[in-house]
Amino acid sequence: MAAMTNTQSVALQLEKVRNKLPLLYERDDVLFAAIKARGEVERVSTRNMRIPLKLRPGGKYGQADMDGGDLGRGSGTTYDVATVTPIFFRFGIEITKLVEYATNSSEKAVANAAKKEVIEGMAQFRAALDKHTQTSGNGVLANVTTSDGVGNLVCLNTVNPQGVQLLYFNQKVSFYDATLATNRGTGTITAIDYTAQTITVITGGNDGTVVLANIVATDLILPDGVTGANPTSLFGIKYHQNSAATGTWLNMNRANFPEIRTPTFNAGGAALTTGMVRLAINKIKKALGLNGVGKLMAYCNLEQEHQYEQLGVTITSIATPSGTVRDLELLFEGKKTMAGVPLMLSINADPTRIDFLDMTHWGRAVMQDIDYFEIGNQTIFPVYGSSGGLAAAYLFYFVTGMQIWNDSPRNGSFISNLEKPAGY
Amino acid sequence: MPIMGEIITLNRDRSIYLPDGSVYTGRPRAQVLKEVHECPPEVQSQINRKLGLNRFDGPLYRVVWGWNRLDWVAGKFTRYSDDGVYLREEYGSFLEPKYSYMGREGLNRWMLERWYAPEEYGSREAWEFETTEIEGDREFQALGPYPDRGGYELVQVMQDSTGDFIQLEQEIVDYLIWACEVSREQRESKRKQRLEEEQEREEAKRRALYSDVFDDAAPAFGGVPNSTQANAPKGQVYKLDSLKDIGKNKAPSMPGMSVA
Repeated sequence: MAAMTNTQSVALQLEKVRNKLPLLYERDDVLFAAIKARGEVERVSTRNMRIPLKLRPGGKYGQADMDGGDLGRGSGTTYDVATVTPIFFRFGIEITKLVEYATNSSEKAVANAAKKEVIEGMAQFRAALDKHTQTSGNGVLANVTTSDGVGNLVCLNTVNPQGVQLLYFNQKVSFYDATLATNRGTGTITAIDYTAQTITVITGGNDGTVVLANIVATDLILPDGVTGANPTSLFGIKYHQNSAATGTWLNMNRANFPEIRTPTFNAGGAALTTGMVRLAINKIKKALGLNGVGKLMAYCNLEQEHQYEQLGVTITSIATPSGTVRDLELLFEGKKTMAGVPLMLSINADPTRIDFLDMTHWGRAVMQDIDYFEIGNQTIFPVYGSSGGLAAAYLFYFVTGMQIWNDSPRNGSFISNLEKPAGY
Repeated sequence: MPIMGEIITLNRDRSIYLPDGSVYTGRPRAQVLKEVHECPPEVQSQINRKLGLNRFDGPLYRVVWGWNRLDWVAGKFTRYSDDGVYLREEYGSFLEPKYSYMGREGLNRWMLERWYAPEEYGSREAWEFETTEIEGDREFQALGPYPDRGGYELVQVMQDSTGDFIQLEQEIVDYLIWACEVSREQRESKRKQRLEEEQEREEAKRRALYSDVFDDAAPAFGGVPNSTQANAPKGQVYKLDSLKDIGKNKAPSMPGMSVA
């Protein structure tokens, strides 16, 4: 009988943490994880998940003449249905045998190498999904503002406020033209400068298919794996929190239903004021009634938290002035708020925007929970060399199939086009 | 039994004090929709004594009860019944609880507010430009008129870290005011640095958690066979130089084992 191969043994080690993956995945420290998959109804098949919406009241009210008068006709409540179809996401991790051997002074070191990759991989997968959650449903992560034709790209935040914030080193991405009609192919990011808002892309072989000279200013950068014209991707925060009167939302036409447009306040490039926060929240009150506003959360980047702190109406630093009040610190610890609304910070959030979200109206339609990609109980796969023989490396994947939904876009609001403080 | 029109006092424990001082213990017929309270004068005067007054002779900080704090909201309103039934749309300016988005229970809290000078709200023109909403042929100042005597903005809701009610105490108020003033004095660069450090700490915590989760699931010592010596002597390093050393303040070391 053939000896047990290393590939087989590493697979066993990874299985030990298999049931812990969801725990790592569902941590509430990013927006993506805060949007929970709730209940059994969201377990979906390949058919659409249907979200019934009560849009408009029905019935014809009026005064009546009971002395033979005409009572008129009636009407009913207007319902419609929003539909969600899950899409799949994957995160591949590949380790060469040399990496393994480099830490192979004992069997424990091998376990640590696997551990490191699982931890890093899961953190990166969650981060990638969280970045994707910031987008508007078409998967656009960045806008190219300058291209030198050999792979050096500038993506200024004057065009897309997130600049290159939603990209990461060694990520494989797709390039589209400005209308999302033409997929130019894929490339791999080999350098990224978050301050200068630049990336360097290579192509060829496993690194991608795009012809670098074809990438031009106004092109769009999407995740690897999207296909065809006008791809549908993860329905992120800007898809659901959208005040536009055009386009569709979960297959419903925004033009026909003002009820599915999110209230907004456009700051016009001005710095955040307390008035803007009140205006944005009041718009929800006015749309839904005084009792209709749920438990809100203010979701923003560090920049807008900084701006709010500049207003001087928040407690930002609690040191201990004397022994007697020391215990009081504990009462307020870790509870940052914006005008009383709990803050949720993300370095991936649009730095020019603050979203007020009622998370009870958000959810994930899940077809496949996070797990290792598996075929016949095998989760670790060999890599093949160009000769057809095995390469000295192995692969494993995290996969999940889901989509983000919202059953009431008017239960939130947002402030857009805010000024960013200097130094960011 | 309280009678209609009689003034009764509702305590936080929902017991009812009748005007004659007795306590009504029967099942209350009234449902408490909102509680209103005024800040005890001694708390407010203590704040004023310590910090002085603003240029309009108002307090620099003040404590308000959530339901008592009203503010202008203007524009087009969609009205619903308590059951969520659509009633009508109406236009107008209304005084509503300013922090109503905290929910009914959330308004049953004491809140600390700080005074904002008029100029901190920007110019009158900027205010009007920013807050004017046009609905059909009507114009509204969505946040009411320009605050030409300044206004008060929320600093902190008095609740604990789990969101539970905290009774109003002078010590808590003093502490919050102190903390707010310290925060205001922070320089911008320091503020940025602190925010970034907080983010790094959060990230480090996340990584540590991932590591712990993995260790929790992985076999002990990476699955390597292991044995240890119970009650091993600590604080000394033993080295066996020769067989003569056995029993002379030196312990033998075992292959593959170091004792430190």
